[in-house]
Formats: sequence, structure tokens, C-alpha cells
Amino acid sequence: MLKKIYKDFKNGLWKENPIIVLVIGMCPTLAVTNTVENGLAMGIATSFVLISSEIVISLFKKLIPNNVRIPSFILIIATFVTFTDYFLKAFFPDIAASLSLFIPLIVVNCLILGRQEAFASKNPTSRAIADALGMGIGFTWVLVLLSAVRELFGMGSIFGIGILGSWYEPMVIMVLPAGAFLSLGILVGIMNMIKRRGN
Amino acid sequence: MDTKISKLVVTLSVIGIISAIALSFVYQWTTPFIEKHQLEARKQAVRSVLPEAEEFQEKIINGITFFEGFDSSQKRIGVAMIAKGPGYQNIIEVMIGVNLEKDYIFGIDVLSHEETPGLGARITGQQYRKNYQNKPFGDYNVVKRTPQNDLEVEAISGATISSRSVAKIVQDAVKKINEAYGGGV
Amino acid sequence: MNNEQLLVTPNPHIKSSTSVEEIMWSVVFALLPAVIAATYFFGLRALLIVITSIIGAVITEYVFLKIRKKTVVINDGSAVLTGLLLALTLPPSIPLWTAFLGSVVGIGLGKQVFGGLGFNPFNPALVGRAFLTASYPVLMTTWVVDGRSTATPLSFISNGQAVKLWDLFIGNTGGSLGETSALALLLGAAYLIYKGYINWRIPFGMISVVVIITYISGENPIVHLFAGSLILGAFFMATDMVTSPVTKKARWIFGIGIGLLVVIIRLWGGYPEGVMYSILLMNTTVPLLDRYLKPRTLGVAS
Repeated sequence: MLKKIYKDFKNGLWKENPIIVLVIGMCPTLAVTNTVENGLAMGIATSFVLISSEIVISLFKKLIPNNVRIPSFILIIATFVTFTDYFLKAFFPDIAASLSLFIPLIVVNCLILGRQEAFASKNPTSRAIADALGMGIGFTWVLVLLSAVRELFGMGSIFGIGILGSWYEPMVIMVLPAGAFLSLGILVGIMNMIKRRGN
Repeated sequence: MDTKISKLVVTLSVIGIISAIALSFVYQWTTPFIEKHQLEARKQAVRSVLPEAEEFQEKIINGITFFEGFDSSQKRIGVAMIAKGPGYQNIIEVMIGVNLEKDYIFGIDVLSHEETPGLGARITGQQYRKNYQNKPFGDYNVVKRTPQNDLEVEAISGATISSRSVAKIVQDAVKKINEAYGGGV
Repeated sequence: MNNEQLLVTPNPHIKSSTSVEEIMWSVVFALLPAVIAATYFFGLRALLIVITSIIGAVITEYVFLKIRKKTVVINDGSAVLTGLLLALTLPPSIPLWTAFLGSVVGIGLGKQVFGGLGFNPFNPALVGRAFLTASYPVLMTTWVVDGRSTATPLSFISNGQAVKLWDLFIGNTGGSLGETSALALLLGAAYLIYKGYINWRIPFGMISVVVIITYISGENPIVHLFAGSLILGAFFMATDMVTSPVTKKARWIFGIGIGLLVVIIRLWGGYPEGVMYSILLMNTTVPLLDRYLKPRTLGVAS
């Protein structure tokens, strides 16, 4: 059992990483990764919603009739998202302001509904927690890496701290949506190369 | 399809009720904090365009919210409002503070925008906003050189469109303030 | 290219005795007057930008072909041409590393990731330029003539200032390296059309649309013709063999479409110049144009 749980956890980190392998949850991936702060905050917020809803859904999966499982999942997810939204607005107003619309949009992040449907509604709670943790961390580290690349090239800084100095001419395209597509494409390409080498 | 319709309804209702109750607690818990932040943010923005004001009061005229600033002796020293208008990429939101007695602008502050970083985004910078400090009311002319009279605004080089948008927003806002407070122009 | 394998390609099959290599080098040769004019008007710096850009393109092509384990075919001239074309679209005051970066992106992201020469949907030089425009908007819109910073003729127009037509024609005005001297570009274009290496339909459709619409809307069509990169784009970029359609009808639509977009961007858009985006946009329609406008096969029921 422990071995299984460990395997579920490791799955999301690399082998079935939501962004670079499953390529789901692209909306926040492309939209809010212009600074590391935003990327990290979005990763954590999404992970929180994912973990809480996977726990609740795997606990009550037997009570939810099959016909209404999708609306039920959405209701539960929306509750946690609204909670996150209020919480950020109350205690981290700066982050809430820069992520603005994209926090409520976590409801429709297909990573979250996808994991409920594919995993939480079929497996015991302990395994669901491991899966949610793995997927959440897998989602977060790629967001942070992507946003680090974009912030470094686009503004010459990491976490708002200037790293490259004044000689560096910021590459504006990297903080624009086009830069998100370019860097995500290159990132997925590099990951695929590493994967292929590994096999 | 063997599940009865009543069971489906009950399940969804129960989930809905539980989540509504939970959220109403969260709402009660967080609302005071959220309101405090919003008030603070708005106050700060008003203060940046009405620097001498000590207290603020909101007033709605013609459906527009104005912020009136008072000094320590309760004398109204100026009025501020939030104006919006199209920029180069998206809506630009500007806070404008004016002196109604002497018909000039105290200053402006760009609250939100999506202009090109490095070019149009410089509308938030001191260099550009200085254009509007202590500026008389009127129709502004955006020029690509050092302004030679009070109604000229120096454009950001390479970002004439953003510069013009802000000038237009400010110009329109001044008209609205004048309409509401019955000024000249 | 010493390709001994049998190549199976989709139709239409055009037989021609001229090789890719010959055409590419002829286009490079045809652009030499423009390079000379640029060096004359903007100084040696212009030549340095051209050389840097070409070196960047060739190195990137070499590295990518090595990584992809393909035969290195630098001598086909396509990378050299991309570097040269990109350089001609850059402002003369640009730092050299920017030109280098532009051609790296142009060849790397614009051409090699799609599978190399013949598979790129967009003109690689323009991809490089689009990247630079989005990345360094300040550097890419600073124009210097004789050490003075000036606006380009097209931004003069939007300010209502007068432009000297003769200066515009020979190229003594602000602007990118290669777009200023219409005379030098036309010399090269005439040579290519005489040799039959570029098709006249695309540039003709494109330029006539721009001239007609600007005339109707009350602008000076001659200024719009010679200012900006219209001539460079029409003869040397829109006609790129890989990214332009094959059939006659498709070529007309392609050229006219670019011309329309250029006018729309210039007259009503945010940018003073739109040749680059117009060509890139119409590049996306090429596969569709080729598919629906291919010549009908005789004797087959449709």
C-alpha cells in the first residue's frame, strides 16, 4: 500500500506531469507566469484547491450518485476556489490583485476536474491525497520554472529582485502572451528530449 | 439509470447547502479585511492626486463617484475621480485630482493599464505624469517635443498612442467634474 | 544537395532547370545594391549589421543541422539570404547583438523547428524581425540619420509633415537599412524578374492595391509606395518560394491580401508600418490557398 501511495505521488512530478506531459491547465500556465511571484502563488492556490477537493470527493464518493457526479464535483471545487479567492483578497491583497480574474478561473482548470474524474472518484482517500500532492507539486514546479525563465529574460529579475543588472536589455516579448507560448514550447521540447534519453 | 430523481436532487441540494453555509462563514470572516484593504488602496490613490487633503468623502453625482478632499480645517481643497478610457491594448484607468477654485489639475495617477512594457507602460512614470501637474483645464495637445505652452503634453517617445489616450481620458474627466460641480469650461 | 534518396512530393510538380542554390544566391546578389545604398547613407555600421546578422543565421543553421544530424548545406545560400533580409529590415542604430539574436530566432524558431528549408510556414527573416519588434520596441523604433534621431517618413505622414519625394526614392531618409532606397531595391528586383526567379504577380498585386486604396482615401500614393518597407517586402519577402502560393490565382489573392492588410495597418492601425505583419499573416493562408486553388486535373470528375 505504501509503495502504491509513493508511486501515485511520484506520478505527477514527472511521468504524468500535468503541464509538460498531460498538457492540461494551460490557461493559468500561459496567463499568469510572467513573474515568479505570480507563478508560485498560482501553483499553490491551484494545489490547495486540488488537494482539498480530492480529499472531500474521495471521502464521499460512495454517496454521490453517478448521474450527478460532474455537477457535484464542480460545486465542491467552486466552494474551495471561492474560499481561496476570499482568503487571498483578505490576507494577500497584492497577490490577489495581480492574479485577479485567474483565481476564480481555477474552477474551470481542467487539471482539477480531470483528477477528480480520473482518480479521486475511484480511489481511497490516502491514495487521492498522494495523487493530489504529486499533481499539485508537479503543476507548481513547472509554473515556477516557466515564470522564472520569463521573468529573468523579460525583466532581468527573479522575485522582483534585479539579477542581471542594468546592462541587460529586457526582452519584452517574454512577459507578453507570445513569450509564454514560446517558452512553454521550448520547455516541453527540452523535457521531451530528456525523457527520450531516459528511455 | 436506476438512481431515483429524488436522490439526485437531494444530493445536489445537500452539497449546495453545505457549501453555502461554509462560504458564508468564510465571507463573514474575510469581509472586514477585504474592505479595509480596498479602502486603504483607494485612499492611497486619492492621496497621490490630492496630496494636501487630510480627509476624504465620497459623493455620487450624475452616477459618477467623486472623492472630495478636505484639509484639516474642513475646507474642501479638491475633487478626485477615477476615469477610464481605451488605451493602446486595453482600458486605462486614471485617478485625477483637480482644484475647482482655480481650475487646474493637481496631478494624475494611473491605476491600471495594459500598455506595452517599456514603451506605453511609461505612462505610470513620473516623467510622463509630471505633464499633468498643476495643469490648467482645457483641450490638450500631445506633442513630440518639450511643451511650449500650458496646454501641451509631451508624448513618451515611441508611445504616442498611449500618451494621447491618457491626455484624452484626463481631458474628458475634467469635463465631467466640471459638469458635476458646475464649473466653467 | 547530394540527396540520393527518392523524393516523393505532393503536386503540383514544377520542373525547372534552376536549382535552389542558384536562385538563393541570385536573390542575395540582387540585394547587393540595397546593401551598398545602406552603407552609403548610414555608414559602415550598416555593413556591420548586415555581416553580424548573416553570421548569426549561418551559425544557427549549422548548429541546428548538426543537432538534427542532417547534412550541413550552408552553401545553398538560404541562411545567408535570411540573415541579409533580416538585416535590411533593422534600424541602423540597433546594437549588433540584437541583429545577431534576431537571426538566431529567425532561423531557429522560424525555420529549423519546423523541419528546415521548405517546411517553414513563415518567412524566417520576418519571424526574426517580429520577435525583435516585440522584444525591444524601443530599440526597434529609434531611427537615426546623420547622427540625428528622426522619425520615419510614414510617421511624418501621420504628423502631417511634408516628405521630399526624391530623398525618399534614392533613400536619403530615416528608416530601416534596406527599406530606404527604393531605387536600389528596384534595380535588384528588375534583375530577378528578368531572370524569372521571382513571380511578378505577388508584388504587382500587393503594390497596386496599396497605391489604389491610398489614392482613394486621399493620401499621397507615391509616398506610400516608396516609404517604409513596401518594396522590400513585395519583391523580396512576399515572393519567398517556400512561404508563398504556387498557382496563379492563389498568387493574386496572396498579393492583394497583403496589400489590403498593409493599407489597413498603415491608415487605421496602431503601427505606422505594417508590411511585416501583413506578410506573416498572409503566410498562414498559403496552405489553404494552395489546396483550394490548385489547377483542375483534366479527365477527372470533380
